[in-house]
Amino acid sequence: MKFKFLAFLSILASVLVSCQDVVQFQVEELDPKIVVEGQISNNPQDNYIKLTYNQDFYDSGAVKPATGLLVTVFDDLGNSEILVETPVQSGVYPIKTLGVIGRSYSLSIKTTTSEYRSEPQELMAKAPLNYLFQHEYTVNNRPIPFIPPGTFALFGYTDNAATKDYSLFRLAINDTLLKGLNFFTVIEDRFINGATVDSIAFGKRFKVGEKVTIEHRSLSKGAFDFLNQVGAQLGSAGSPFEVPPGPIRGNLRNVADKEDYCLGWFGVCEVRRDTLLIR
Amino acid sequence: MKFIFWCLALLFPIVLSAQTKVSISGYLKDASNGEALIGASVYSDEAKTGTASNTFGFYSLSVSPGTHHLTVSYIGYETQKLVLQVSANKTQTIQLQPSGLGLKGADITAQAEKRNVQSTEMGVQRLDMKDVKKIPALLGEVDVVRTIQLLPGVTTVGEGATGFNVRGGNIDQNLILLDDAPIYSSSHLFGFFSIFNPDAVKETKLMKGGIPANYGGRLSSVLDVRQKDGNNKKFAASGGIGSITSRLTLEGPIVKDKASFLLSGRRSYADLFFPLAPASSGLRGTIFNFYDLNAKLNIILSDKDRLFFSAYKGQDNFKLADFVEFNWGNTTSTLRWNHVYNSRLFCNTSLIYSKYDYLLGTDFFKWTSAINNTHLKHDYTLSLNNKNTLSFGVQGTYYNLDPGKVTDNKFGPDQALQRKYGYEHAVYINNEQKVNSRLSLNYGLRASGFATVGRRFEGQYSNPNLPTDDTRLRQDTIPKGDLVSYYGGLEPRFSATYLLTDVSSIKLGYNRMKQYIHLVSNTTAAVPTDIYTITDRYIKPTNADQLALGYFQNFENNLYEFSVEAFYKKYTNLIDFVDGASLIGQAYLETQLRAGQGKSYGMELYLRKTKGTFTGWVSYTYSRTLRQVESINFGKWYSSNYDKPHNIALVGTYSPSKKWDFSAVFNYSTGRPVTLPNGVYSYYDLRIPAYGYRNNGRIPDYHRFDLSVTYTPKALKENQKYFSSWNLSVYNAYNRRNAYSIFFRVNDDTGKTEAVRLSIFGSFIPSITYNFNF
Repeated sequence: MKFKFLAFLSILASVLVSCQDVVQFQVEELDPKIVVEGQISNNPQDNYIKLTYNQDFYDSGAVKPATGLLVTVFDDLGNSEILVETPVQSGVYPIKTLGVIGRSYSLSIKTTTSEYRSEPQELMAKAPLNYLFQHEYTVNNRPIPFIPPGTFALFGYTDNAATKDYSLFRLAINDTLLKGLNFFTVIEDRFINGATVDSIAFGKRFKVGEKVTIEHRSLSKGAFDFLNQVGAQLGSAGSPFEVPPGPIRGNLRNVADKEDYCLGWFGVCEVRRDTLLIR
Repeated sequence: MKFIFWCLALLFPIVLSAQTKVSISGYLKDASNGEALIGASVYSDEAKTGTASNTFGFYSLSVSPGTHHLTVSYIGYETQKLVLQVSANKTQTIQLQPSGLGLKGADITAQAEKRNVQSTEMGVQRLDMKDVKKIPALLGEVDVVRTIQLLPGVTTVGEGATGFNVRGGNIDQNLILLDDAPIYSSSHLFGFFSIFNPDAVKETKLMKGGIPANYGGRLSSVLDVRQKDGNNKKFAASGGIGSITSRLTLEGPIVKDKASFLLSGRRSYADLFFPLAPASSGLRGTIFNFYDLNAKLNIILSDKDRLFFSAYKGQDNFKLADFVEFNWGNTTSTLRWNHVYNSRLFCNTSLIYSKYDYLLGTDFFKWTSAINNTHLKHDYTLSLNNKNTLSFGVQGTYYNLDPGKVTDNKFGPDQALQRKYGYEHAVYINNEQKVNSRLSLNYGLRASGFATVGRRFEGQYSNPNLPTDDTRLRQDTIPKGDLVSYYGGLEPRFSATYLLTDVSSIKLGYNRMKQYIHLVSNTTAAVPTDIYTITDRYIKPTNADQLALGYFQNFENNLYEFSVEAFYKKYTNLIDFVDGASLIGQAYLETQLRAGQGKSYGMELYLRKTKGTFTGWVSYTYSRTLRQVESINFGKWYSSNYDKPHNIALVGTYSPSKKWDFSAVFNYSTGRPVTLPNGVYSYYDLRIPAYGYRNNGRIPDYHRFDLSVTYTPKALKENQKYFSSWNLSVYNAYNRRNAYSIFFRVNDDTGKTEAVRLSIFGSFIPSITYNFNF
C-alpha cells in the first residue's frame, strides 16, 4: 500500500513539480547609491547609522563603507545632532541622542553634491512580552504535520488597542543574532488589534544550555512596509502567485531630485530584549 | 430616453419600407439531436441575400413574395436546399444533418465558407469543439482557454496562469460568459485547467474587437461559451477517462422534440490516493480535487416560446489534514425565455445569477470572500428588411461584493471588510446593414452607467487625487442605499466591410468600452484569493478605445482563409498597483491603486486551412502593450506584465483516415517582462537585490511543441451505437524547460548572488485519454 502511494507521488511529482536551475543572466548595473542602516532608539547600544554603498549584483566582495559624509539627526522640537563617524569602523556614525517615545525624528545625509533627507517618523512604544518559555513538541502534539519534534521557545504579547502597531522580532542565541529571513519577522496589528497573541515561535529547535534572546522593536508604518517587501522579495521563489519584485525605495530621498534615493531604511524605534535559558 | 426616441424615430421610415416584404423565419437545428445551430447560413437565390441564425438558432430572412430556392448551410453539416412558395410571412424550422466527417469532405457552400470575408465581424474567432478535441492537450484535458491562447492576439503570462490576455488587456478585461453568466475565475488547479468541460460545450466564440453593442462591461474581449441544449431526439451519453479527470455527460429528451435535459460532470481524482499514505505522514485526510457540474433544461413551450434553464457549479478543494483548507469556485444559473413575437421580431429575456467565492481556513481563523451578482437582460432582434437587422435591449446587474471576513479568529474578535454594492445598467441599439452588394455596416451605441451605493465607509484624504495612509484625514459612513458614486457614458461601436472581390475584403472597426469592475491582483498570475472591486469615489471606470483595420482573403476555392488585422487601443483610467502594494485584507484599496493611461498596438496574421486531410492554422502576432502611471516608474512608460511582442502558433491536424488523427502544435513567444535587479546591498545581516525600473527586462523566450494522436476504432456493425476513441498526447515534446520566471537570490551555501530559472514543467508530459459516446 505504501509503495503504491509512493509510486503515485513519484509520478505526480515528475509530471507536475516545477524545477529550478541556476542560470547565467546578465543584468545592468546601478550607479553606486548610499545604503542606510541603523536607527535612533531608546537604547544606546542600538543608536547608530551605518552607511555603505551598493555593489554590482554578482559582486561578492567586501561592502564599501560610505565615509566622510555629513550626517545629522533632527527631532520635532528643532533639536539636531551632527553625527561623528567612529574611528573604530568606517562608515558607522553613532547617535548620542536617546529616542523618546512619542517624539518624531528625521535624518539628513549630505554628500559633496547632494542632500538626502527622510520624512519625520514617530517613535512608537513596543508592547512588552507577556511570557517567554520553552516548550517541547512531541510527535503527538505538533501544531502542524511534518515539523520534527524538539524544543522551541514560545512567546506572546498583548497588542495596544489604542494605536496602530507594527513590530519586528529577531532571534539571538548566546547573544548572537541569527542570520536569515527565518529569524526576522515583522507583524502588523491589522487583524489582531488589541488582541493577545500567543504561542509565537521561530522555526528553530534549541539545545540545553543555550541562551535564547527575543529582540523585539516597534516600527513605523513605513519601516514595516519596507521590511515586509524585503522579506517577500528575499523569500521569493519566482512563483506565479507571488508579487513580482520591484524597487524598494528607502526613506531618504534627494531633496532636489525625486528619482534619486538612498537604499535601506533609517529606523525610529523602541527596542526590547527578553532572554530565556534552555534547560 | 431622448436618445432612444430619436433612434426609433430615425428607424421608422425603414420599418415602413419593410412592409412590402414578407419574411421566412424559424429555427435552424441539428437533425440528429435538436441542438440549435448558431451562425448557420440561410441564402435565397432569388433575393440574392442571406442571413445567419442568432445565438439561439433563430433566423429571419426578408424577401419578396414568390418562389424562393433556399440554401441552408453550416460547417460540418450537409447543405440543404429547399424550395418555398412564400406569399405571406412564413415560419420554417430547418434541420441539418451532420456530415459525419466533420470538416473533412463536407459539402460546404460558398456562403458559409466566405463568412470570414463577407461578414462585418472583425477579430472574431470561433472554436469548433470537434477541432479543439483533436489538439494536443496538457495531461489530455481538452481545454478551451488553452486553445484560444493559440489564436492571434491572445497571450498568457505563462504556463499554469489563470486567464488570458487579449490585445494587451489584463485578464479581468475579458468578459467570460457561460450561457450568459459571467465567470470570474476560469481556471482549476490555480490555472492549469479551464473550468469548461468540453463535453458540455456547444460553441465558443472569442470577440477581440468589433464587439457589438449588446456586450459591455469589459474592455478587451468577450469569450462567449454556450452549453449544449441537450439532445431532444434520443438519449445519449458521452464521457472519458483521463490522466487527471474523468467525465460523464448524459442528455436526452424528456418529451421528444419538446423538452430535453443535459447533465454533465467532471472530477479529478488525484486525491483518491491519499488514503493510501502512511498514517505517520499526516496526509490521510488530505483532499486535493476539482470538479465541474453542468446542467441544462430546454423546453419548447410553443412555436413561439422556448425556455432554458442552465446551471453550473465548479469547485477546487484543498485540505491538508486538519491544518489548512482552501476551496474556491464558481456557481452560475441562467433562466432564459425566447419569444418570437412575429417573423421579424425575436426577443430574449434572461435572468442570471453568478457567484464566485473562496474559503481559506486554518486552525487559527477562517477567511471567506465572495462576489455575488444578479443580471437581468431583455434583448430584441428586429429584422427590418433584407438589408437591416436591428438589435436593441436593456440590461441591469446588481453587485454584492464581500471582499472578506475573518471568522473563528483565535487572535481576536471576528472581523469583516465592508461589503460593496453597485448597480450596472445599460441600454443599447445596434443595426447590421447591407448598404449594397459590396458594403456592409454594423453600428450601434451603448449607454452604460454604474451606481455604487451604501452602506459604506469612505476614507477622506487631504489630497483626494493621491490617497495614501499618511494623508487620510478621517473615515465617513455613507448610509444604506445612499449614492457613493455614479459614472456613465456612451460607448459607440462601428464596423464596416467592403468586398474587394467575392473572396476578399477590407474591414474597419472601432469600439469604445467601459469597465466598472476591476480585479485586485498584483501577483504575476491571478490567484484564487484575488478579489474584485467596483468603482467608487476614488476608483474610476476604465475606458478603452480600439481602432482596427483588416484585410481578409480566401484562396483556392475557400480552402485557405487569410487575414491580417492591425489594431490600436488606448486606455484611460487604467489601474495599476503601487510598488509593494498590500492588497490582502486592505480596507482602503484606493491607497494601493493608481490610475494612469495605456496603449496597445499590433498586427495579427492568420492563415487557416479549413478542409482536407490536413487542416490547421498559422498565426503570428506582433503587439506591444505599455502603461504610464504617475507614481510608478516616476511617470515613465513601462511594459505591462504581459507585453510579449512576438507570438507564433502553428497548429496542424492530419487525418489520413476516419480512424486516425495526428495533431501537432508549436508555440513561440517573446519572454514576458520582469523587473531585474541592478545591484545588491547589505542591510543588517541581509543581502538584498536592488531592483530597477518596473519591467526593465525580459525572461528568455518561450517555445513548446506538443503532439497527439487520436485513434477511433472502426464501427463493428452498421448501426453501432457505441463509439470510442483513444487519445495519446505529449505536451512539451522536446522537453524544454521554459522559464516561467527568473528570480534572484543569495545562495545560502556560497553567500553569492545568483539568478535562478523557475520552470513550471521540467520535462515532457505524456498522457492517455479514453473517450466514449453512445
